[in-house]
Amino acid sequence: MSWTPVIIASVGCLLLKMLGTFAQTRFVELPVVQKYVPYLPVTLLTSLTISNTLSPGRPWHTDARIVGVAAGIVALWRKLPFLAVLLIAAAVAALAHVWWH
Amino acid sequence: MHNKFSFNAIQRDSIGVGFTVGLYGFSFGAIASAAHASTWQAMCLSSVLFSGGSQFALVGALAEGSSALSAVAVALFLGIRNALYAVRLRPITNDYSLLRRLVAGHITIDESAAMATAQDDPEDSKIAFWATGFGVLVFWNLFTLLGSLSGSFLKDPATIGLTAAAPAAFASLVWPRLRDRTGLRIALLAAAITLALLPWAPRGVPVLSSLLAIPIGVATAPKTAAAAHHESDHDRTIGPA
Repeated sequence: MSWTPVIIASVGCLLLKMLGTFAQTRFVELPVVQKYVPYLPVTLLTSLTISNTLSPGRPWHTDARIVGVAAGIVALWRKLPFLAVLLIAAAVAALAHVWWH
Repeated sequence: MHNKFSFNAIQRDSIGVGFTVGLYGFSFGAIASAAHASTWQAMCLSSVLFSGGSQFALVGALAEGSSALSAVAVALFLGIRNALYAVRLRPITNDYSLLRRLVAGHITIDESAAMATAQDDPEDSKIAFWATGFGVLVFWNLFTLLGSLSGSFLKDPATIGLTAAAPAAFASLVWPRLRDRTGLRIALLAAAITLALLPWAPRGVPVLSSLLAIPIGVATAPKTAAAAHHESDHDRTIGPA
């Protein structure tokens, strides 16, 4: 993995925190910030869930991952804790991969 | 609220949150390793960037072949809310020295902001903020290191398992936000946009395009949902985002 995005994202996210700590705060009062910023996580993380599950560029193509992610979603629905969800998703995907090949 | 007992209880709760959230650092380290991030890179993200959602997003986007630019953009968009938390926390950080304010800014994340704003007394807020922030910082980095080191020993099919753990981590971070009706509407729109673009758009474009779901979802929200939305970044259960 290249260092460039790692460093730029690290410094950029740190600067955002400092902006909130030190800068003029009027940007927070802007209606667009008040209305839209609370929904950034739900939007981007939903999209990442899907794009990390399906292989991009090839519609409907996926692999053992989709079975694991589906198991993880069932675990979420059953209100299991975060680490249990990840372990179930990983274990089911690994088993499905072995089965598939 | 000022007796010795409750003072200790706040610190104990905060460090407990720090440890629990820090444990998830193990999954970040392992997932980063499966995405071909070196241990140094994983540690740079956990110590300097230090915001779980942005870290998972950057690694996930790069792993699926997104350009560096769009991966960084997604991480920064997710980091904007920390700036809003920092503004909200200014009443308790403003009277500190410059150095302490810099450190306070760095440990401003979902959990420290949530624990600080959950206290009624300003002094309790300070205690909760520092104990939670430092607790998460220390344990998140410790477990990232362990996760990254153990991840580098894994071979197929365990690596395949980890590539499924990444989207499962995203789903876990989304889950509590779907209770908010506008949040759910926006998530469905974002899913539709992503599915529509994924087969033909360049990598990274579907995720950034999903942002269109926010203005559409907010504009079409029924009036009653408007009141709920202010709480939507605080009513979630504790988790690394």
